[in-house]
Amino acid sequence: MHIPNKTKQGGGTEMFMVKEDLHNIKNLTKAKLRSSKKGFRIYIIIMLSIMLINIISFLFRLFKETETPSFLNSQDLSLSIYIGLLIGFIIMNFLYRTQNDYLSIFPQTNNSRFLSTLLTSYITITMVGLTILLMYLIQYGTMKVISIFHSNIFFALNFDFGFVMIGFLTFLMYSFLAFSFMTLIATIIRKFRIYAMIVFIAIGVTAFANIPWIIDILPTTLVPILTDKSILWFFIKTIALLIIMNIISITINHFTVYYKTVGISKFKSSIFVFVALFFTIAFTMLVGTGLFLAPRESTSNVKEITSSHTEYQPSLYTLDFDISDLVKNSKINIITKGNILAYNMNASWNDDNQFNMSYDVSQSIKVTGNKLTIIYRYPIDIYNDINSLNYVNPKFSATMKGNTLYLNYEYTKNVEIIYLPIWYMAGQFEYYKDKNITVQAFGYSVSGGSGNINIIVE
Amino acid sequence: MTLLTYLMISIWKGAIRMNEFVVQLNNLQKQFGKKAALNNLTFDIPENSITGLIGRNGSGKTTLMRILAGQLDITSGAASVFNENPMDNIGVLQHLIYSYHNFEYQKNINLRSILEAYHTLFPNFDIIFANKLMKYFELNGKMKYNSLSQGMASIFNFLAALSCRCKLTMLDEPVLGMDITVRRAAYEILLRDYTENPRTFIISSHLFNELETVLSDIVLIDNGEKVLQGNIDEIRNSAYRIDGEASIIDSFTMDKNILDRQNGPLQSFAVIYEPLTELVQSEINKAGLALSSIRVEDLCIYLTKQNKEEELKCLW
Repeated sequence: MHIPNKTKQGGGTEMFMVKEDLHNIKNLTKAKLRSSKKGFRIYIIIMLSIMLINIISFLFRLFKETETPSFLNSQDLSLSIYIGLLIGFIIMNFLYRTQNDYLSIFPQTNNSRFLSTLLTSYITITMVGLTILLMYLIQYGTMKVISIFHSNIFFALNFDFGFVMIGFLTFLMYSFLAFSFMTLIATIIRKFRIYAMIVFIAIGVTAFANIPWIIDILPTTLVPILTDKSILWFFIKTIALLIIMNIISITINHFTVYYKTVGISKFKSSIFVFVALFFTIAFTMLVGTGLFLAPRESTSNVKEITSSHTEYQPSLYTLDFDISDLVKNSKINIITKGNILAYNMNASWNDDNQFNMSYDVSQSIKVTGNKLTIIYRYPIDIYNDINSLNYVNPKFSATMKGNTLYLNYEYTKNVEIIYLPIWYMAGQFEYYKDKNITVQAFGYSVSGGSGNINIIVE
Repeated sequence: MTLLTYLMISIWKGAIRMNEFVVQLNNLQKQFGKKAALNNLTFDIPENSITGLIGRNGSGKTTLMRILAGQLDITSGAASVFNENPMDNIGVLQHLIYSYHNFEYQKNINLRSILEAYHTLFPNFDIIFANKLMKYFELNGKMKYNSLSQGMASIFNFLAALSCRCKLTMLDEPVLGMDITVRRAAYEILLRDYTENPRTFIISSHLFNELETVLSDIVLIDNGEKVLQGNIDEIRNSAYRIDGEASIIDSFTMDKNILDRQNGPLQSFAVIYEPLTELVQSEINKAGLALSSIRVEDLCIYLTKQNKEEELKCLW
């Protein structure tokens, strides 16, 4: 009788793998990747469609004068799809058994099954990420070519290939970390089953009920681990974290008997899905707070960063009016025109002959003696340090008729700003600061700008 | 199956048999909760045999095959394949296949993709042979597995398992849903491939009378316990039936192991579970009883049947 070429006895008790196991992991990974080929094709088609729609809609906007300026943010949807897929992978983690049962006819061990699943997931996440990178480069290239022939197209940020690549790798690293963290949770649940689920649900609910506290505590705990100003240290830290989490998962899985029970009840499956969704939502909410993505000090640096984009800063206009004929304590009606501002407001002096009014309009009106000075700032819609409301030939006019002040904006046409924010995660690195290739913080916006009208009568 | 093939197989069965065992069970016990699915099973399956795993529904056949395929842990005892524990042992697992009729592959996967996966994961998988069988059974590689009828799915699983050319091939209800023509073709292909590539088969099927001609050995299990095991020709001679007058049968069977006994107004008979030796044959002849052999399938039924006569009467 031919004895299989295997040195170990007793099967499945050794942690370390022999050549056959490695071969099996490779082959299982191949089979799993092949089985997801169709899904990947569908994904590519969706992404290509998004890219085409973006480019075409961009072209349409070029030849049509729009009153409402728009800025191109073509990567957001594809990024959303990517995150959706990542969440899908995370949920798949909790359906580990179901997914692997489809391949149970093929030779595999507990370790090879788990490692091939991990490998398949990491390879697929990388491939999906690469498609976004490719789309980014294609779109950027296309728009760069178009910009040669159209003077009203401006690129908000300079292109730097190194930054794009580092941004892509940073992006991948965060994806891997999120996936490996959820893999660890799923592995613990598979090992300890209902006990683990109870503990995790309790932790999750407690965290959910104390989000403000979590928000306070995380910046001092997780953020220093997950972000760094140095590129090298960032990758060293995150790769180490990734390795640690995966080693723990692999070890726990090694001591989890896969075929202990036959089948899994629908009730249990639904609990797994519930837990997966719960953690995914909790994770997404935490990410949404910008904790992992934006260094805490970055918001305090807005002024500094904004000043680096001077060409896109709103222009300042100063217009003086003689209001000597204006009766003291009378009212000034301010009427603004156009789509940008549409307020009709009344202002009046107070007892101290002074008042401050704060409302959502980007202008400042100052009255000194018989002179009314309007210090005007263009309306802004700052999103990630970039003002999306930019115009060609902007013109501001103010007309005083009796007690009514008319303020108006005019412009020739809006400017298309090509702004590709996907690699913002690399903005944390000191190396890329002040090079006009990235923004420091992602996800905050200042709309309209808070304007004050100070009318002071001396 | 042609006579020539059958003769050839018979020769092979004798010629290639070696005194080594592919499967060895020692007091194997498997429990699901408090229910014992397998109870103290001890037997060996020789190399290059085609063993029929016979038993009623729920007797433990599938549980046993899953244990041998490393897909179930055991409660106590030992189960070894190629002298090793199959559980999580890739050295063993890549040389065995456990295929069953209702295996669920990923949804919407086509047959070609499945065969590619087999080709990747089984070192001896013969893709050319598999494609020939696909053509023979008129299966298209673009067909989706989950759109196949039960019979077609069985054909596909059968041909895929056969093409693996594993040293141990376990087929659980391989012909379920196949029509008689396809079943016959399947048996013949199995035998021919066996002659070309001798290896060990364990086959479980409820269509035992059809399978009987293919098998070299059988193992009969009931309620998780082994009832019978051995070479099929020996088992065929391990029981016989005698017909004649009731009083003569009574006297003849006094010291015999009787499996079934019935008295009728015209004819009575008894089924005796003992080897039919020349001495016994001459006694039967002297007593004026009619001797006939019984089919192995019937013997299995006699050995595993439970007395449900009273329960049956209660139904109406």
